[in-house]
Amino acid sequence: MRLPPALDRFFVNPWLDFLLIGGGSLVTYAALALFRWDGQAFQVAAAAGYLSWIVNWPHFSATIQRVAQSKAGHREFPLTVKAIPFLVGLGVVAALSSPEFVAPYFVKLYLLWSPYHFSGQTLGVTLIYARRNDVTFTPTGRRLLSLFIFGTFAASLLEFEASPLGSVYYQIPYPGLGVAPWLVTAAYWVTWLAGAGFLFHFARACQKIKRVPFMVLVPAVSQLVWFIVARGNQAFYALVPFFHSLQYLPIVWAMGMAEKKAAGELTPHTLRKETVYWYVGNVAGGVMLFHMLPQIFVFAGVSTGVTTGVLLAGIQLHHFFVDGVVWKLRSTRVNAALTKNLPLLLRTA
Amino acid sequence: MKTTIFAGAFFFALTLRAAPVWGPDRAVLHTVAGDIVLAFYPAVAPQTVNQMRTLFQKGVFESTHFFRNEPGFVLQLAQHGDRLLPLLPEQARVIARLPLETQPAVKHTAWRLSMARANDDLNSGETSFSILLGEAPHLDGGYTIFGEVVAGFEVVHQLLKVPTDALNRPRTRLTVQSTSWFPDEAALKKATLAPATPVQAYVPTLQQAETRLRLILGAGLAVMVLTSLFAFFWRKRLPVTQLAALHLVQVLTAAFYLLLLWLPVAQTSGIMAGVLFFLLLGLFRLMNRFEAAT
Repeated sequence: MRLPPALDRFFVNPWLDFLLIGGGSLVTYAALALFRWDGQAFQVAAAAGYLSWIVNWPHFSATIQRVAQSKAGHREFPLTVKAIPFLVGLGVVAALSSPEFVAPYFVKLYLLWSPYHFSGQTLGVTLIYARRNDVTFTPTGRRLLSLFIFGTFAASLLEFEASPLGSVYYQIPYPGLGVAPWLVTAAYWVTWLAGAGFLFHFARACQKIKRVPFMVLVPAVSQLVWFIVARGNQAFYALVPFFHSLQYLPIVWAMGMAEKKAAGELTPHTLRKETVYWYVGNVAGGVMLFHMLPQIFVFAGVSTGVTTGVLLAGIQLHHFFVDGVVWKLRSTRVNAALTKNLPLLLRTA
Repeated sequence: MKTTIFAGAFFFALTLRAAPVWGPDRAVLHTVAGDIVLAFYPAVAPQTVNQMRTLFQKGVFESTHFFRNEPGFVLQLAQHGDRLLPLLPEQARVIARLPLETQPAVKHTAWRLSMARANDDLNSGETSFSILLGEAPHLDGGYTIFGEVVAGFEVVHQLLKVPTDALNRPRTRLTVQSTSWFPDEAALKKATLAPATPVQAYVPTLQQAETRLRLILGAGLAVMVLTSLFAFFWRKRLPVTQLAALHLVQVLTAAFYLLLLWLPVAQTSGIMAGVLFFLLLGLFRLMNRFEAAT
């Protein structure tokens, strides 16, 4: 059945889509700036900490569930399912065995990979909404978009890495890189130029379809706001992962349900029940990964701070890896599911 | 009668102003910025001072850190749970909760040591304490004062210079690398104290490596050898996607080792550090192609 193009433009509907793909984080940032909540960053961080239990942690669990608990996942990605947990596990053991030498680098690897991972999702979502809106980027336009999105994170991260002092992550001190200051300036210039170039290409692409789908720009704008405008804001560390996870969960859920439906394991009557099982299962999985697993190591006598820091880094490194494998827009199956309207997808899968 | 009242008032005033008497023993915190010498008030807080002596003798404060730096208020040492090194069983055994011990005459003023505790429990001090950086009358009567800094003031100033975040947490770890305890001033004088130095960037180096580091490095090399052997012997049975993925496992393992070895070197040159940064971004991008069909 051919789907009506107007519906295909949205995952659910314009407003919900806007909030999910970056609008929600933009509204939150505007509220923080408007009501001058900067001084209450701690409260914001604490609130987001509670949200971790129901949004951030389940999103990690959902990835593992998606790839490791399905026969298709084992068939398609055998090494990702079997070898990567083993490899990351070795890293965790090495870091816990040598908190002074290996742990700082293990944490460093995670902290550098993390914003790269966020940026990858921003790029992916932008490309999905470009396709939904019939906006076709030339290879140069696509490269400029990629350069701009990854540039926002690279420039602000390089700014932090200009100092060799480093910082502390859950009582694990880790080193800074001490990059040359001119590299920071250069990275910002490249980002701005890429952004301007991309806007030019976007305008030309819009001419072809005779309308301006602003929705395509929302993910990149939210990336710009959080990674550059709001850099250093305490709320960044709590809210960026939260919105990233919030964006991710409905997509994984939708794909899972659509696949179940295609396999004949889901009917409209069992959808609600399956959704509850899926969500509760992932909340429980998140608690096991982030709360109970560190406790086991602490009981075994390893320092609380080091255990928490290393395990959190390990779980997230595993997630970055698996996510990169699973979500490939080049894959026809992934692409087909991500560019459809959710109600229609569930109806027609 | 008048004379008695005046004399009484005079002696009362004296007790208010009198500094608490130091006990004979001294403890030293060997920090990343130099050594800080502490003296204790056994007459003011006998139980706390006894416990502190035991904690220092057992090395409970080793590898913990100053986690809170509020200028003009406190520089606070973290709880034992924040140590980098796991507690030894004999260290864990001596940690105990301490009751509140106060004397109205002993106030929270600069350089005194004040036990930290849970907000809702007066008798919950354990191993975290603060160095007062100014007067804090709101803490008087609610927190145990048990000693003061007697040397290493410049070391504290160096620790205070490290930038902090919005929650007053230092941006680099202010680790207490080790501690010492001396029975008296004479014993302390025989020791060489480290002078104040600016806090340096934390650079884990191979010099700090332990015996088990050989095992850790060996395990990574073993992963690389095993994946290579697997790829070689199974080359006819494995699809190209998985053969390529096995190569990427080796690349990731080797890249982590290069990060360990090169980062301290890269810190000496801004350009090298930049190259390392972009190499890592390239690594992350490459890992997205793990088990990719195309």
